[in-house]
Amino acid sequence: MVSNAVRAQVAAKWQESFTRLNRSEPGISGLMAFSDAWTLATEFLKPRDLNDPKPRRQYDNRRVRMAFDTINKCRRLPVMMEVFLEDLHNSQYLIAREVESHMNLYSETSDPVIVRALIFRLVEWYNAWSPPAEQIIFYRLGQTIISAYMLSFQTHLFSVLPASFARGVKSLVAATLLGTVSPPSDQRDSALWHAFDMLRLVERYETLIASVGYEYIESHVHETCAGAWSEPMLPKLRAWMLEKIVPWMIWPFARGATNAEEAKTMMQGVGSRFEFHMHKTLCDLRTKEMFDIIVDFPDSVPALNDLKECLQRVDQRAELVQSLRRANRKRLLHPGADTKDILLQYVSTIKCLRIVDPPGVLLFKVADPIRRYLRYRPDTIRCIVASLVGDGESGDSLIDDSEPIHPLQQPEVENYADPEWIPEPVDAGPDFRANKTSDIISTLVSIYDSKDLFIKELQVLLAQRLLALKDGNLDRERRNVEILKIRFGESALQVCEVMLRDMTDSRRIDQHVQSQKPNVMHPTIISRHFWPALEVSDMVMPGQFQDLQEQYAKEFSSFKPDKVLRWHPHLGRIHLELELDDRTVEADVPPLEAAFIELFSEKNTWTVDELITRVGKVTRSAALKALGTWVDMRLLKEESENVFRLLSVAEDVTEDATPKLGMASLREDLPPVISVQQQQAEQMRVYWKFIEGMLTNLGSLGLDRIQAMLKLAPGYDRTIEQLANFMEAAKREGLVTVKDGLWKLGK
Amino acid sequence: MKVRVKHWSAVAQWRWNTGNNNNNDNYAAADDEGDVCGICRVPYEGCCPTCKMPGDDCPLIWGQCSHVYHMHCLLKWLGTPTSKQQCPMDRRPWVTAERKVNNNHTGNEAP
Amino acid sequence: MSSSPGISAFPKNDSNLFEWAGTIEGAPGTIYASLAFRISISFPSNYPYSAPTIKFETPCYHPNVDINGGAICLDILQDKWSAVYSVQTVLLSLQSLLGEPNNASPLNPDAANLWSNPEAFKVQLMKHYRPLDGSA
Repeated sequence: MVSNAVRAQVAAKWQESFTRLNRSEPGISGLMAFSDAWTLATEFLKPRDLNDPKPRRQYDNRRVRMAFDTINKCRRLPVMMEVFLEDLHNSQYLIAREVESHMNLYSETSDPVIVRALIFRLVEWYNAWSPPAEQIIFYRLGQTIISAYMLSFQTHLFSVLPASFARGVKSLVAATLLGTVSPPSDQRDSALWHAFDMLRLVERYETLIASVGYEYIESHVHETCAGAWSEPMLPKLRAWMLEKIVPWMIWPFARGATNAEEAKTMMQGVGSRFEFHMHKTLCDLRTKEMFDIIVDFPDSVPALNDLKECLQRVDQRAELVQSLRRANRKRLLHPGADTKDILLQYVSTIKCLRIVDPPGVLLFKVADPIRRYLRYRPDTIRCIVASLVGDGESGDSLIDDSEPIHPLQQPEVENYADPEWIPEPVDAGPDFRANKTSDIISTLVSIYDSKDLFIKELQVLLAQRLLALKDGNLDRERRNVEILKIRFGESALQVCEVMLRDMTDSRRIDQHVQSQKPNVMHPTIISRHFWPALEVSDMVMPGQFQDLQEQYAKEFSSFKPDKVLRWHPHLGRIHLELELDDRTVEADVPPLEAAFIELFSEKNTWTVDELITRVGKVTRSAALKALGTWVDMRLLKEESENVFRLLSVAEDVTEDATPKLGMASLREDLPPVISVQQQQAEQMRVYWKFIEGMLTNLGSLGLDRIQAMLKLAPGYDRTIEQLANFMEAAKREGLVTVKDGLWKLGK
Repeated sequence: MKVRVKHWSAVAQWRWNTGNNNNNDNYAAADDEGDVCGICRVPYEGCCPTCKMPGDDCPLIWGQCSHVYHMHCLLKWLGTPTSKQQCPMDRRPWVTAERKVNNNHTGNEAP
Repeated sequence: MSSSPGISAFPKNDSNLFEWAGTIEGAPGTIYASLAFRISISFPSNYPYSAPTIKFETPCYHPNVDINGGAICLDILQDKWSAVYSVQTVLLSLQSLLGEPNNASPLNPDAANLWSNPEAFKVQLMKHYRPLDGSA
């Protein structure tokens, strides 16, 4: 049952609503007008299908304005907004359909132009459905309606965008950088960025857009800088960033900036990330290329300077060390590589890393394995020494002629009192030794514990060169010795001085001998003990050669009455003229060859054994090699095995005449000077006496102490590692025992 | 066949003719150890501790007692009071021998 | 540094080559047989033109050796020194001095007196002797 009171209340409410809608119009005309306005406004706002071919209904702006006015006065705007959003919601399948059709097409073609078209189309939808700001903005609710629309539109849009859309955006953004999709009139494609902004896509895809920048920078760096080491690339890259990346960044990262200053501030974060990325990419690239950059030194100096700058911004030092060590292991430190090449690469590494990292920490870490490897190569010293004396057989020298000649440098002890002192870099290891001042030669020599090995090898090399000297011109060797004196010290080169003086003395003596009694012999007379051990030979020169030796020795002793000569008959060379029945042959041969052919002037046919008996002790292979020389010159013929006959008259060589000797002539010419290695094995026996005496009188000693004491022994040049091996061998033989690192004599 | 030697670059080493190391020489003995100076224990063909160049710059000295030293070593010894002007080897008064050139060495240099 | 049995010597350290340590064993058949003595050798700067100074570090009961300081009375280490003497010749002389003392100029008169009585002498010798412990 309805009470009157309720009825009255309903009547009052109804009256109030009616009054609001009808306002104070007569009758229900106000209500009618509201109804018309509502119909017009909702119709006006209703989202329409852009794809509907029917032309859009034209509205009278004034009437639309009035309609909104009426609704506002009736305070029905909030309701109208709800209805609008509901309509919007119901129409959104249209957008979904549009997105779907575009993205299907994109999936097929991967053409960013389709994505671009979709974005512009979405903007069209957005604009078409947007409540007309100019009509409603004056009302209290105006702004709310626009915001609600934006939110609703975007929420729905994002809900219908497929996963492929992000990919599409990425390719589209990349295309804006390449300028492939932008209209020629708008290279930077501001229209597109406006569209992005309008749809709020920039916020949504900010990370994605940045990644496009990173990737673009990467590919540009790789394209332009890979292998391009001979010019500085960093300035070019920076210019490129300014010209290409920074303007592009303005739209996505500085939109809404009102002036350049503001834009700069807005772009600062992403800008420095891009710049870092550019440096890092170049740094990575150069790190990967480092081995070849070193090979290319000095042409690659600009690349090294770039790398230095990159390393100051990007902490990639450890990676550089690892990568280079890996490359060295793979490409350099293996049995197939020539020692000379390893040394060359090492020297270049030194020079290159000094540019990249002047304090030398990187060099120390990279050089360590190279040095350890070189130490175990048997011909390392020989190669370094050959380079020292400019024995440029292969052109490339380890040493620049321009490099000033310094005495060898010892590693410096840190002087903390020096006001210039700076601490070692943080990544320096505990065994790091700053190598600030050392020149290349000091660095190479310091591969070994002792420079004595170098001195020895120098002496051997000098001896070989002096004995092989043809023109008698000593200037070059003299200059070498002078240079080496500066490096190794006067006393170390004393022996070389004696060798040089022997050379000049020999010449002087020879001049005197020749003036007394001319002789075709011109010997080099050496001072024993000052020349490296020469290969010993028991050979005796036959016939006229012995006469020549005796005559010369006699003249020598009458010039130097208190001295006599001893010959090294197997050394030297002899120039001969051989007069045969039908021809005369000239030959420049070693003494053994000369001795044999001399014997063939006694009789025409010899067996190998007869020949060997006549010249004393020579090995069979040496004899066959010497005979082979004459066979090759068609002076001898192997009649039957081991029987040789002089060809007094030239004969045609039959095909099978020579092969028997073929292998004998393959024998390598041994240098007349005994190698350092051979000498070392011999010496170690002598040093055992030292060690024995030491352990007898000083009790048990550590290896360091034994090594220090052995250095007292003349000519001792073994490393502590070599000594350790030797002591282990002595232990196996029961000569010594070791306990807690202390060695003592075995009982 | 006639063999004519046009030029011979040979290698030899010099030795002091101490009169007792070359009596039955042959050419092969070029690398034997050789005698040392009794005072400094350096080979005769080396040089005494104060010299750098061997040979004529650091000659030997012969005593009538037949003992031979580096000249510098012996003179230094004779300069000490302990020496009493005696040969350090046999303690007989030191008398320097005249070197007899062209004494009839057997062997290689003067047949 | 010795090729003779029972004698050897070596520099004490690598920084001073003038100070050596040596070992002498008594020759077989003498009263010192199988006893080893440590000695110190100090070379003068003008060696070999002056004799080295040699002392017994191991107490040595011997007519020509000072039992307290280890000083030795041996003519070749004094006025009979010759520049041709090597460490080896000196050590050999010392080794033979052990078995054949010069009782005419004793540094240890007790030992000189006792020399003719080998048993009593050996008792004194062993009373003073200290074997080497293998570390100098």
